[in-house]
Amino acid sequence: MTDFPPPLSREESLALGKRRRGRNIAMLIALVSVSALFYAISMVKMHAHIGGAG
Amino acid sequence: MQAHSDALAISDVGGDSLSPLVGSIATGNNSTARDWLMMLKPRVVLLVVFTGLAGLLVAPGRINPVLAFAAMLCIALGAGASGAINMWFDRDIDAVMKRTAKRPIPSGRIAPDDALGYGVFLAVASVIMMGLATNWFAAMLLTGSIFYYVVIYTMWLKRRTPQNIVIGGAAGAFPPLIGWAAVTGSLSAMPLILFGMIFMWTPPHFWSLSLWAHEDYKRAGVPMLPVVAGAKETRRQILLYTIAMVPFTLLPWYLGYSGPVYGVTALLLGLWFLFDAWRVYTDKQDATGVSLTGDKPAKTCFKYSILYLFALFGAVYVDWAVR
Repeated sequence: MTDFPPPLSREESLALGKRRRGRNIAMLIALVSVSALFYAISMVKMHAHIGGAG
Repeated sequence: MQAHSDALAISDVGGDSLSPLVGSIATGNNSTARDWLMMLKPRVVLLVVFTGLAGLLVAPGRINPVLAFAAMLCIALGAGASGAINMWFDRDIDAVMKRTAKRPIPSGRIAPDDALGYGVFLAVASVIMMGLATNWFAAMLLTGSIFYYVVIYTMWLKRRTPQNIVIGGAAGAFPPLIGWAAVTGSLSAMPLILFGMIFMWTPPHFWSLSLWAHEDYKRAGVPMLPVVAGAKETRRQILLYTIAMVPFTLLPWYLGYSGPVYGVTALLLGLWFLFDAWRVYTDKQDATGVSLTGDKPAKTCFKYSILYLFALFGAVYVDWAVR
């Protein structure tokens, strides 16, 4: 038989949800920021490339 | 990327026998976003970015602001990744040191494997992004700095020799080189001088801390200088390194890379550092060099050393701006 951990109390469950939400929001901010940065880097590089070619 | 970093982050120390006690119960569910941020040693990263930016600014040539921002972010991420891997490796000694016992891994909020994955991912990502955004020479230097801090300092030197912080200090001195290389794709004398300044600053900075934190290091079995050679010798070494460092910081002025704004500031800041180091040396102490004043001068010297490095590199900025 598998031993399952005891169920969380309501307070523990709420605290867990809060921590998880915080981590998810931080991850969202990081992903959006990195995407925006990569977009900006691509634009700068392409601009330089076009400028150099021209 | 930061041997000095450990001191700033106020970290480290331990014994392998404690490993099984540490982290095995961590599930990751207890962690908060802040815990993951703290894994990157943000205070250390701040200093790394500050010194790296100096290399980037004073380098001849121009770099697009977006690429400059990306380069600084990569330096920050690389330093943070090194810190995370350091915390993973040192989790056993962190657990027995008062100053580090509350870190996310020893306190069980982040699982060791997760921390390692996090650090390695960020390290690889920072290097690739540096290469794509600037050039692969800068990316290679960033790789070198991460390798130096993680492998040479953390895994090899730290637990083996009292010279750990002297040799390992080079890890924290890389940022100006990387910043310079991000702009120029090469190196020259000025970034190497900036490197040398941080390299020489690290021992007096770190040993000031270890003078009053040596009990932690002793308990953890880390051979810091005060633990191995005693407080008296450590005081002497702090003074000697400071005496050697101050003239070295004047080199940019002497060689014409910086102007009088930097030169005068570096001289005044250095004289103050010398005064603090002298007070550490002459602190009221017993026959073995143990302080009878609660290591007040060493604490002052440690705090000042952080301010000193910020101010010294701040002077590099200002001098560059007014020239």
